[in-house]
Amino acid sequence: MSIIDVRNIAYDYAKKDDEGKEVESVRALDGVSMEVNTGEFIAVLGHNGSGKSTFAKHLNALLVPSEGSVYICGMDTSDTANTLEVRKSAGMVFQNPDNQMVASVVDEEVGFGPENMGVPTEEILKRVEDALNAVGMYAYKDSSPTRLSGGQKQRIAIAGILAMRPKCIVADEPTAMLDPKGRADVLRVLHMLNKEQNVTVILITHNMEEVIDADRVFVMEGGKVVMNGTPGEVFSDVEAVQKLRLDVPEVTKLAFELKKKGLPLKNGILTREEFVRELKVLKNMSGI
Amino acid sequence: MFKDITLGQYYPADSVIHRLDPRVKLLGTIVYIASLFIGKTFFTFIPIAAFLVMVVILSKVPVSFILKGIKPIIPLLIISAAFNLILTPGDSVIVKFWIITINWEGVFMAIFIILRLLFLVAGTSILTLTTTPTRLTDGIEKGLRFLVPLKVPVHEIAMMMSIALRFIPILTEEADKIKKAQMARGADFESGNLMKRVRAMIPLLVPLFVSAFRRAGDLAMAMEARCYHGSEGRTKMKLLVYSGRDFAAYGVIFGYLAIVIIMRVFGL
Amino acid sequence: MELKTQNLTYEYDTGTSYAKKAIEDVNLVISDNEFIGLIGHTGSGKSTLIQHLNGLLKATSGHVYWNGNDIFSEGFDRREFRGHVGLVFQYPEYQLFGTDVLKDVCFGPKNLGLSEEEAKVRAKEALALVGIDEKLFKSSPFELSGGQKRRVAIAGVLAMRPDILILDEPTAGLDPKGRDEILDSVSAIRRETGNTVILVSHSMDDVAEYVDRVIVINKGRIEFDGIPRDIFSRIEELEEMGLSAPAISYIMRDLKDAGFNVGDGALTVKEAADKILDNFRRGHV
Repeated sequence: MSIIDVRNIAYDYAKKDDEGKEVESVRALDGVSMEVNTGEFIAVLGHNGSGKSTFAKHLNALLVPSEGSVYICGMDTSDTANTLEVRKSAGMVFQNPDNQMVASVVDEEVGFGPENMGVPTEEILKRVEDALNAVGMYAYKDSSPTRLSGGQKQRIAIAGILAMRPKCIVADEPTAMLDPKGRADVLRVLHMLNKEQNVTVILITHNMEEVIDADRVFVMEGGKVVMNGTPGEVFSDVEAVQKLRLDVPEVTKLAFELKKKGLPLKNGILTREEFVRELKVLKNMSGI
Repeated sequence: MFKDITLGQYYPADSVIHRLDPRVKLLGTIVYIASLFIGKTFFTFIPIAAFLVMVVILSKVPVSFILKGIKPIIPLLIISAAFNLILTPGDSVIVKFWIITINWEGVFMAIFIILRLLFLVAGTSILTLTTTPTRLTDGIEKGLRFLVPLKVPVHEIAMMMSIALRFIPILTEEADKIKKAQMARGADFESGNLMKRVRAMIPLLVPLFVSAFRRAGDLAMAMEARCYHGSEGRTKMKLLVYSGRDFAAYGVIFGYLAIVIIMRVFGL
Repeated sequence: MELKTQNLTYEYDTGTSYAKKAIEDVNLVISDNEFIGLIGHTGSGKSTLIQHLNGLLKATSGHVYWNGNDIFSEGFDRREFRGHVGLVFQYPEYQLFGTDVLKDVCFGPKNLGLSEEEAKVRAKEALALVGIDEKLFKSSPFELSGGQKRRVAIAGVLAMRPDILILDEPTAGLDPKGRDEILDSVSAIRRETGNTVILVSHSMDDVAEYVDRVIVINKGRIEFDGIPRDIFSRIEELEEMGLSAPAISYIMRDLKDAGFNVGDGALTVKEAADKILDNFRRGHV
């Protein structure tokens, strides 16, 4: 059974004028489907306004579809009786690290989710310890979140979700406000959880470099999924991706440029290692 | 200017005061405030000062931290001292000019009021400096639980307080940033008459409110996503259980209260 | 026009055990028509430094000179000076407050003492430079998209017609589309006004593509100050400071290590492609 099963959903919201009267209905999602299996690392790519954040909120029952249905671990999110169970199964990390923290001490912050779930005290303490160790922040358990860097705060936010022991983490642009180091740390933690604890990860992002190591990529535009496949497949069409005003990794751009100028390189080169390897093959063939 | 506000700031340290049950500290603070108003003479500042010094030393909070909290209330101190200096009736006139008379009673009253306010701010700041907002609100939630049957939303009040305290440092930092950004656009917050200064605050306050609402919306969503649904079925990570030192602290607090009351009764 | 710093040092919590030097002994000269990239990791002191450049912070020791005058000397008009050295903070959209876009952008010029009309002229000119359509002038700034808000905020500083424009991570948190729009606006500003721009950025790729001079700050000190080509060839030293070089620099280094004769100095995709193709062509001759 797939852990996430999104069946042809649409989401409309009402645009209101100053007096609160409904002016028009805007379709933010339009015919989106997605099936995700346990243990996958999925990236959802798109620029602001593409519908990717609206989509993410559907996976946590923060929003329910206007048409179609979303099943998380077999539970229909539209049924309010399932809401809490859905949120326990699919935890969500948001973009702004400051705005998602409730408590003023790190360990209390991580314990907030389990407290809401009614987990017994002893068990909460254990979960908080495990979660903080998993993200490498145990040493900060008594600190105040205000004193941490953005990347550290985001790792705390991830620990706060982990302590709820979810099957799946939905991270909605968790790195958008971070510096390169914080960005790398957060990504490392997400990949580690995916590999070592078999947590399914849905990473919403607009940063290409973060997508390269995903199992599958969904590209969204105008509320629809316009491309999907492995990173190599998606990026093999550099011009199509650029037309969506999304970035392509520099190395992919370079390979594409060389190909245009006549070097017979393969499509969708994503890493430096791959690029150098391919060029070496060419070099040997041409006998330089 | 905003960075000086220590209200609601927590100073992490490992001290007896930090470890005390928040209910003890809450009651202690209430007793301390009451003692300031029970005392009518300068002599009462002796036990008050002794009590405060003891608590500060035990709390391991640097004195500079507590003094920093006093800085923002200096204008208030000056205003209330001035009023008392001028308005206190008395016969021992020192100087008299125009319609203003200053007498010794006024001088004493002004000093008395300044001392009282200083002790008030310094003492109450200890509560938040040594208690995390979560513990504090836990203390309020549990300490006020007897009000639940009266349909008082104790959990909700406690949660609101906790979040407000959590966001004070974030919003003060933000206010500082916005102030600097507007100064970079030539804004002038420091000169002009009162009206002009109030008007100059608009470019600071509007963005600050917008930001506070945006943050509130974000936080509400994040809380919901983490299964928050009120107090029903909620457990606690850190339980409040009285230990020996809490009972000892209650003893000290009531002993202190007794001393202050006795001094009042004997007119000291 | 010349902005100069002399032995600039700024210390936090002077006299206490927390005392920490945010910047130390900074000497810089910034002149006309430069495009400068300022890089340094979080906490390196770059934010502190730029706040000194327009007089928002006063150095613990050292001086800032504007056309030879010390900006903290008696009688120096710092408010007017801030109109010459425009500073756009990180996430500048959080400073918007006006009831409409045009009024918000007029705030800066009006603070400089200009008339309503003159302020409007400047505001419209600045909004045009950042590519905000006239149709949006009467909209509330809070109804715009993230990228638009930020461009309006930049226009708010630009409308003061600064000689030097400092942008603190202007693309932070934006998607590629928003980022490109901002960087295009910055290029347009450079082209139309010829003003000096200082771009504070974490993106080495952006810095490599746009600027003519790179200043690297580490632990409060200026480590490097020179042309991008030279500075980005020092990959190891940059990494020691918690920074990196542009992606292309790494690719070219790997190619060199693998025995390709691609030379030094390529920083952009185009430069790199030319060098690689060159390598293959020469091989055939």
